[in-house]
Amino acid sequence: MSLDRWQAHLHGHFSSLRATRKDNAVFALEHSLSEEELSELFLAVHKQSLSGSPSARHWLAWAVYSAEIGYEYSGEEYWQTFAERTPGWAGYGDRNFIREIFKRFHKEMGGPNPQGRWAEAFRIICWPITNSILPRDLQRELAEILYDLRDHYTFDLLQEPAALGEKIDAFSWRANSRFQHFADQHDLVGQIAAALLRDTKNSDSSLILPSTLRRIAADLERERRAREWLTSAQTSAARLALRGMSRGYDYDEDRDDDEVNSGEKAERRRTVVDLGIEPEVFLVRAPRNLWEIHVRLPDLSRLLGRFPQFKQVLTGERCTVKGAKGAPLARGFLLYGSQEVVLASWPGPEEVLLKFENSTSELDFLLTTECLLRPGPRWLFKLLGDGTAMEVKGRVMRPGNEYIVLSGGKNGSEFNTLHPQSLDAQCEGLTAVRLEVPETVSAIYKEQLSELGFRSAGTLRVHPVGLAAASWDNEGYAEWLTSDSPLLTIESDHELKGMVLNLVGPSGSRLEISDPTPSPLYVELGELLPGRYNLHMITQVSGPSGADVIGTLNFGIRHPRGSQSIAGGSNPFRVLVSPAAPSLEQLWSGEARLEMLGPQGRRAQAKLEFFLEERQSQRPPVEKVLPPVDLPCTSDDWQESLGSVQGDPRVQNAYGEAVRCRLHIDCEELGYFSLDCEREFTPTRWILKHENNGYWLRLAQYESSDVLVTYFPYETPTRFSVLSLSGGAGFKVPPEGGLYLAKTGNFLCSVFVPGQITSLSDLDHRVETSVSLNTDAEVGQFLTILSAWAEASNPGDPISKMRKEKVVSLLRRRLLSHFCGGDWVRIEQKLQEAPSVLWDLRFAISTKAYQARIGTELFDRQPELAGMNAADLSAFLSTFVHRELDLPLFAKNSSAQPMSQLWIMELAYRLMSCPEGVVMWASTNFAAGLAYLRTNAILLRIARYVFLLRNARIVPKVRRIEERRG
Amino acid sequence: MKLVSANALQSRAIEILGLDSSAIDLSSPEGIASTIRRAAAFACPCSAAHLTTGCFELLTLLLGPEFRRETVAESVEALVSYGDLFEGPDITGKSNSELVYVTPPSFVAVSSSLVLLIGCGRDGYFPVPEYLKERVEPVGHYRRLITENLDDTRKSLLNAGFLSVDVNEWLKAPAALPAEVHIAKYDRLLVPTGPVGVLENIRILESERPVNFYPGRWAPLKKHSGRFVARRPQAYGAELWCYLHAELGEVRWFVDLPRLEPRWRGCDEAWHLQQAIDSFLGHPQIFGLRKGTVKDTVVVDYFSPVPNWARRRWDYSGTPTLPDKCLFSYVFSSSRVEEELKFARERMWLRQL
Repeated sequence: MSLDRWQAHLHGHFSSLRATRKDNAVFALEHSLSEEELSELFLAVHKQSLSGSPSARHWLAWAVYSAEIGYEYSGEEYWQTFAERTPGWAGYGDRNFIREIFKRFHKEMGGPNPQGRWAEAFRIICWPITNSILPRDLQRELAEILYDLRDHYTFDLLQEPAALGEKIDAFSWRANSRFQHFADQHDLVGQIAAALLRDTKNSDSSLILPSTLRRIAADLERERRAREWLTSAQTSAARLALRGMSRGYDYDEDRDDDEVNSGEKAERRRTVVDLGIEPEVFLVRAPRNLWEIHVRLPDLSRLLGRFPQFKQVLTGERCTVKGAKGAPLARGFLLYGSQEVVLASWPGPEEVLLKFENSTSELDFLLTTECLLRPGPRWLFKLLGDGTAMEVKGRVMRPGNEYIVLSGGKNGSEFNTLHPQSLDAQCEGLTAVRLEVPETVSAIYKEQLSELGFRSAGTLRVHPVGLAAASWDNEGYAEWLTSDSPLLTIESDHELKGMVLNLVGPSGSRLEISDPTPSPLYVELGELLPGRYNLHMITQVSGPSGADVIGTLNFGIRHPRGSQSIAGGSNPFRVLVSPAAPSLEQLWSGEARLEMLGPQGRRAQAKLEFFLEERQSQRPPVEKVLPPVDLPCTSDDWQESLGSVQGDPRVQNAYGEAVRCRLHIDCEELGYFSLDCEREFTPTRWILKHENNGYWLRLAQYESSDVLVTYFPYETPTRFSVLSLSGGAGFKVPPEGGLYLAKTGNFLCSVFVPGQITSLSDLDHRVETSVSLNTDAEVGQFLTILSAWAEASNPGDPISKMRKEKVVSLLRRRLLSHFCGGDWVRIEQKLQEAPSVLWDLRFAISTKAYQARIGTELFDRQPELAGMNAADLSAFLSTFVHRELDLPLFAKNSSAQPMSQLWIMELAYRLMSCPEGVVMWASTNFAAGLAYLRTNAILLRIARYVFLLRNARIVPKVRRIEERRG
Repeated sequence: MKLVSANALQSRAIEILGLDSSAIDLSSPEGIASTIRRAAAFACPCSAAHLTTGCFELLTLLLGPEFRRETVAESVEALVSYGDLFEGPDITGKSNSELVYVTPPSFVAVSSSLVLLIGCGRDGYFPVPEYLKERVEPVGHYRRLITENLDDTRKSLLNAGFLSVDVNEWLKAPAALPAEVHIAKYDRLLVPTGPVGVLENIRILESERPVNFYPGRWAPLKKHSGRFVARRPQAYGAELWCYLHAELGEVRWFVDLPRLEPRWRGCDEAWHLQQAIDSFLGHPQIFGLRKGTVKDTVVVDYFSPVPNWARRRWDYSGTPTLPDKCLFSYVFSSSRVEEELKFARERMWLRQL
């Protein structure tokens, strides 16, 4: 068939498809051609590409052809693959033609319009790849996320592709960067996912053409795990489709609060309650009869499914636990299963337990309502036989048992009538007593318990039996899995006339027992839908009183946890990584922190497998086994182990070429950990290769935009020359090395190549950083150069790292000298050896006598400043300078918007703390902000002083000595 | 929701645990071990005592007052020895406790037709591929898989996320040594290192007491003199295992165990040392032999605990069976038993009753 006829055929097909597709996009991959037909189409396209430029007359044939290549795309250089598969393309091809035909497809056939970060960076290839619906290498990722999300499907969600897409985006934090970019397009991803979640054998064409969907599903099913994930996710979705209703909620009435239970906030709070993210508190006996308070923090990945908007904060920000010992939790730690901390002080009733840096008010609200310690003033813990005590949330005390009560009271005198034994709870603001409840509880004793907010257990006892519950606190709070059928026993020590069990929740039911005489009773609750339940037990006692006794078992049902790739907290070998899903570059540069926990005396062995570009997939991955590390292995130990192989040229070359690296850590029979780190998906990338005693560089371009390449010598790192690179060929780096920077639009990509070392004198080159910074433009350019040096990749060997760090450090110093003066820099340099000079430095903020108190006040507020997050700090600085300085306002707007007073102080702080990222952060507003700050340079000195105070580990003592003298 | 009988509930629990309710009940070693594995998947890390209590409460409500806590404790110990559970110090360093962890799903190919399955998955899910499930056979506290094609089975298990454990590593046992040489290694550690402080409430294993009743060998340290395997209390958690030198009831020197075998548990090193001491003193620990109920099998009864490397070996070379007036028992085929007895004699200095 000729291309003209293919064009006509496809025009008819896509036109009719568009007519049936309402709001959803039509994809070029939905061509409905058989394999044979597709081969014929390819032949026809190749025939034309060999003879001349592609013709707009055949735009649909080319669109289908390009989308098919996109379907096979897996992160390599698209155009190189395209050219290899399309004879004649190198001579006649036109990349812009491809973009134009897809734009036309969008306009005339309702094709997708790629959007988001990746579409901005990859302005042409985003079209054919988006039209390929779900490229093969992203299919497994999507199947796993659909599986992980299965707890969160509702009937409404499956009808709303954009909302479903947003949830998928939120759950993509562990996926590779390609998938994360893909997930940016909520409408499209949601449409694809909704189609996959329906029965692919009997679907209609409203979302995706059934034949296309079956093709994708068949590809997915080639891999067992992906098939299982998708099948399980489909089963969850199908259940909802059958019911045609969303899940109902039932929650603890005891915790109602008028203020928060109204409107949208109340709905959100109910949702959070449903997620079960309440922390667990328990006590652990330490030596010398002390008791430590441990808090098991919840796995917050559950929050992401319901509140995808919190992804940025939950994955990218550190978290402080109020009252906990130790440093803040690293980024993403609360997404790796539950974590345990020890409390040094008990948070106040109004204090938020978890506080993320740069959090949002919405997230804070949700964490304030549910992820907090139960309100006091007393907390009850049941003593277990193994030196721990578990919180009894129901505040029920049982005869014959021992308890520890924590109290906000000062001396525990309130317990005196109960014969308490005082304990040391190792927690500021709390007292602890141990109580032994007598076997026989008198009415007076019951009353005393009641006055303290506790109650003595009734004579009805419910307990899981035969099958362990996923969670059970011994006194009325439990959790099971959807694959279970909860089994219970109900015991009573007296005769009952009758009993009613009323189960309230998503799978509610009722059971009347007319003759509950055989005690204990055994009850099977059956398979239940996920959600929260209350099982109310209503009994009537025999005898004259005949009173009803009501007991309630509060429990949750959840799906079993998903993927097995992360070593769980139950295993004796654990690996903690921050950020949660590091890129290959982050792993290599050491930006990703990795710790291994395991028994002392054991060792773990790591192996790196570098997977080369997919086009060369016939080449096996390059493997490198790292030296074994002793457990536990700190982040520094890990860096040392990694660093020991980074000088190996074979490893450097493998890293340079690799698109993905699998880190596999083996800890004998105790477990293993596997992590895939993908290359960051960028428009350009330098590929460095060590060969024949020298380095070769090649610039891989994933997009066809114009690229400006500049070279910066190591000895004069601010002076550059423009290079002309021909085609995609590599070149040999001159012996002196240097920095190579490729600029594509706003995207910078740089690599530092060390010079050859042939003599000892090569180890000590002088680096010249003198540069004019007299104008705003010069400062702007300097910051771009600093950013290029700071962000540059390097071979990884110690010399490269050391030289790069030296340049970055000198450039930062140059900037500091410009803004704060040479004396300031000299004083700062003494800080390492003599922290007390921080006190002296306050005089350098301003030479004016009436401004002398500025530094003193800031110095006095050091602890407060150290605890502030970015938003609080900007607010503080803004208020502080407004009060202390008589400067013209930068803007009248005081909200946290760009070009406001808060914004200008954040810009000042960023410029003085992390200058390399500031141009990108301020974007088009940078020039205006810089001009203002250069005019009012005292703001920069204040910002720098605050930065130093926040990072000072030791509070200088000089001040106090002076005060004493005074 | 329905009211069920105790038997029906037991059958339901067995089914949810993935076992055959027509062949196994919750009081069987297989049922108890499965219950413990599931509970551990949720509760770990926790102390062995906490896990034991939790499982005992689950079962005793169904099996009645004659069901003993010791039965669960012995099963927990067997699972630790076998490798489904791992007992060791708190890996986070946040406490000084000895905690029990679950090991990840793993397998050991012990022969071309026999694979032993180890560990627990998250939430109690054990990811055995569907087509292999019917070949998994629970035997006492462990699970084995009979295979006709080891290569295929190995690939399937690896694909399903199982970890392959080398059989030689798994069965690694110490070399055969004369008892006096073994004791001398520990005696060399008992050297004066300054005052040991006041140690109270020490319990010692009295070597002179009969070796056929292990609990009866424990005694408080009073006026004793000599060197003993002992347990000393600590402020928090289970008693520590140690080897000490006492004079008239006063501890002069001691060394906590494990010391020479840091990968072992303290109890394993202590039991092994006690085996050497008993042998050296002329009354070695013993085993008994009796005929098995199945033709060509022999039951070996053991009267004292043995290190976990010995239990592991017997888990694969034999089959655990109900003990009869002893601590634990294994059934071996007649052709295998001599090799296992030789192992017991050479590595643990045991003698036949």
